[in-house]
Amino acid sequence: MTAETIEQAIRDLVAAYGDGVRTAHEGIRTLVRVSDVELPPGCQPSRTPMLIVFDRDQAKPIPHVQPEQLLANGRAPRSTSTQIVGGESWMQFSFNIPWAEGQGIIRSSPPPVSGSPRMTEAALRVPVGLGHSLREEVFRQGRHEYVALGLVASATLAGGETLLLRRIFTLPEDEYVDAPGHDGAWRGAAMIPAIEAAVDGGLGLVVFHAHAHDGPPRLSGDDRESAGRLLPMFAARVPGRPHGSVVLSRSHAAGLIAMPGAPAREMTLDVRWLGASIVDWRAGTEPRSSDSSLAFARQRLVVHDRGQLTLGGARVAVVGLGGGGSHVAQQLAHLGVGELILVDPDRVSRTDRHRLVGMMTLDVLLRQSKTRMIRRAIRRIGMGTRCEAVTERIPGPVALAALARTDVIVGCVDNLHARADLQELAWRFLIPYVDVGVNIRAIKEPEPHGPRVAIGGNVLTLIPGGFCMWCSGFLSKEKLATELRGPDRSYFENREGEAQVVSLNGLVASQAVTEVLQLFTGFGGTGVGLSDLALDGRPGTQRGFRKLDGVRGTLEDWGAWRRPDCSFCNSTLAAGVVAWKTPR
Amino acid sequence: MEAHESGTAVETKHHVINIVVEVDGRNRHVRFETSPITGREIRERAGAPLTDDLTQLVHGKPSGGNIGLDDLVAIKDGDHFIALPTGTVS
Repeated sequence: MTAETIEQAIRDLVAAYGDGVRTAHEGIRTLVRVSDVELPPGCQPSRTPMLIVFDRDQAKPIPHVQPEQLLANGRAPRSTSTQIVGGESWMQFSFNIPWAEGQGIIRSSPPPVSGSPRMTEAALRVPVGLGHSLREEVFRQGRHEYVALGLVASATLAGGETLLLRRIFTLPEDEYVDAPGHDGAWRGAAMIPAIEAAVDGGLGLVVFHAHAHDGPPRLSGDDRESAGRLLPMFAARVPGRPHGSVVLSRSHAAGLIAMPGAPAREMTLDVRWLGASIVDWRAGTEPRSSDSSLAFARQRLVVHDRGQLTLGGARVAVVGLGGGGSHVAQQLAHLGVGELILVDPDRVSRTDRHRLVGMMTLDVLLRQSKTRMIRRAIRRIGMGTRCEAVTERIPGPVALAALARTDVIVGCVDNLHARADLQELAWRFLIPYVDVGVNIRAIKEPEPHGPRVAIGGNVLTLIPGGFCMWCSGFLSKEKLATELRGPDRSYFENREGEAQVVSLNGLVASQAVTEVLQLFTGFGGTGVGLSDLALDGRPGTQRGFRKLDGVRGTLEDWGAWRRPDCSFCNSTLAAGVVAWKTPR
Repeated sequence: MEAHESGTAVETKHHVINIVVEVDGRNRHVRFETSPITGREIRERAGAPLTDDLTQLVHGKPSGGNIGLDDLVAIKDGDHFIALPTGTVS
């Protein structure tokens, strides 16, 4: 840092903080103390003195805060050390000041994103359909503000503690009361049905309302005061779940959230709305593209910069790295997906060579693991995709933990039991799940010049809140029982005799990857209502149930319906992890 | 205290009824000597705002709807009630 740049930075700080700025010199270091800096919401304390050390031997200024400072997640910052600076005790802070030599502190630019962009204080996931209903209610125009009571399960997922919205209750108009000084007020007894359902289901309660503007919202004093009485009451009813009061703007969410056993804290939330695509409202700074290469230039014409950026931050699991999965994983890398979780316990064999894309002769000799082989292929593609290899079968604990952190799961497995496990995981944690499969059967007595084989297959796009494999009849108890009498549950083994052709695998795999592309970039639509998923404009028929006829060369969307009485959906959707409680 | 009216004379029996009223997530133990009592008496003794709704808790769940200020409630030892505050937003 030059002396001129440091002087400019100090002028910037004085312009921003006025009389609160003090400077001192210690050796070659310039110390700048700012008496009162507001930290991101939820940090404890939320306002603090800050010390910025400008050292000419360092490339960037080094910020310090008071020891014992906690981040919004309640934890101490990482990569910190407490030091004596200027005779005082300060904690070096891992925050990265936006800085450019010659310009000083870049106040107009958000701080660069370091590490995972998923770091946030809490997250909320909303199934397709429910999000539309929630927004319709809380943004409703009327003589007062409207609220909706949400029932939530929870789990620790990629974004930290994640609330999973299972159900909402709206209040009848006559349950609202006139209350001067408040924009909306409702009778306590109006919450009884929601509280009953929360107790029955062991679920958290969240009061939602809206401030109809863009940008981050803030709870009003009234909102906080009311939540201050409601949340302890909710927590007394269901102690093992988070409870909260959340305000939505048109682009962000914030709230007062009481995690189990902890006092309520004001925090910002990442919200994930599931629908035709994944729509994320990020609590923090939107990550900015750092890729200025031409590698994705032509793809950007379809997905735009924002879509490409989303792909770069995405984490996708590919379960099963055989004939379908080898195509899927490498195409995802070509798209620029940021991270792949590769799940397969198997090693390659001689009989895989005709269909595992990327496989080499040496792999057979070395009996290479499929995860390692695919990782090598992805590295050679060179789009910067990170890979995590999981050589464990579904539903092993390591594999499940890895899958729970993903944004989308692509299942390329060859039996229904594995599909049932992935279906459950996807629904429980609200993760979109794309399933592919091909089935080739010989026709026993073919016509003289007719086809000798029947080639079927599927590409199912399962959006939590829409139809599931059980709703659509793709899974049934009878089918699972039949499978148990056939091949065993070794998903990737003992299927060597089954017919496989690389081009047919590639056909369904390509469609699956296109489905993933749609989920992340929304090039075909971004609506979050069930009507936004309607097949050919037919209400109630959801697209995403595609069937392959490999002989005719068609991949046709048959459509499917979510059955209101589907016991699987009703018990598993947004169920999160169970909340343990002490028996009475 | 239990009162029985018989002609012009009033016969009174003394016994204590302990109930629990949950206010803001905290249990308040309240003692009465008569039954029935009014919703207002329960709120006042438990320190719940009169603007709160009040209902009985059965197996941890609100049950039976709101007990108004002037509604009479027959109580017995161990009964559990909950005050439900009026929710507000601005």
